[in-house]
Amino acid sequence: MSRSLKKGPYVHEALAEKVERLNSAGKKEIIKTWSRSSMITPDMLGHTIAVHDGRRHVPIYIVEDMVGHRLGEFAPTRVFRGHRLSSDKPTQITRK
Amino acid sequence: MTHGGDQLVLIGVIMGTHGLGGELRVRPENGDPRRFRGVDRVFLGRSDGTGFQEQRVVSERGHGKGSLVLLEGFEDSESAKLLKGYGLFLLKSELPPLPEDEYYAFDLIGLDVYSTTGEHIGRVNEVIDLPANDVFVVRPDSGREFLVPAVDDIVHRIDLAEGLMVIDDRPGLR
Repeated sequence: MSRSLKKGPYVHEALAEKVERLNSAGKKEIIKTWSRSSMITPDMLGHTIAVHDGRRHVPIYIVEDMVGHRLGEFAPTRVFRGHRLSSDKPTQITRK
Repeated sequence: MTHGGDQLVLIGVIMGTHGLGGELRVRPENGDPRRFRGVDRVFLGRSDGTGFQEQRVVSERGHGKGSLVLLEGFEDSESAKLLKGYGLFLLKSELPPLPEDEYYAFDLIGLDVYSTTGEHIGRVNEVIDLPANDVFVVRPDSGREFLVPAVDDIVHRIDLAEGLMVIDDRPGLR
């Protein structure tokens, strides 16, 4: 059964507070969280949230397309690295 | 892995064969099925970096998410089957130039990382490919390594010629 609409999206309380505090102060900081199940909300846009992957905090830059997804979707707990070091797959600098 | 002093770069891995004519099913490393368009020779080698052999590319075409490549000397399915698991490499100097804001991972490894105030923070040790954005693993001169997201909000400048990367060392980054 899906979550009741009355409750709104789930966001860990401490995380929501931190985002709100940074937004009201107009500051940019890396926010560390263990809450992988928190939903990405529009007020997180432009922030970098470091999501715990079980080992370390992986910094994720929040963009519009991510709204409605869970934070954990962008910090996989099992990373396949393959031949990345010596391959021709390019690394892209994500633009705002 | 070098050849004649130039570094060899993996561009595809042979997954199997296609049909009876010796065409090889290749998974392109950069995900582009037309990766082999315009490539007339490759170096065939094992993933452990041994047994490199120069091969002429007879034909290539896209096939779903992969490519079908026919190599000279392997034009029947029996001989082509033996190549399963091998890698196809190109010389680093033969790789196409990338658009602005895109870099080859091997060019980024070892870059010195500075903050916007000019403080030396560490060196890029690894590049991790993640669903949202790529991440640089930076190893500081002392202390634990930390992760820097590859976003222009934080990474302000990358200068391959000078071998440096300038980042916004904001609170919470390390």
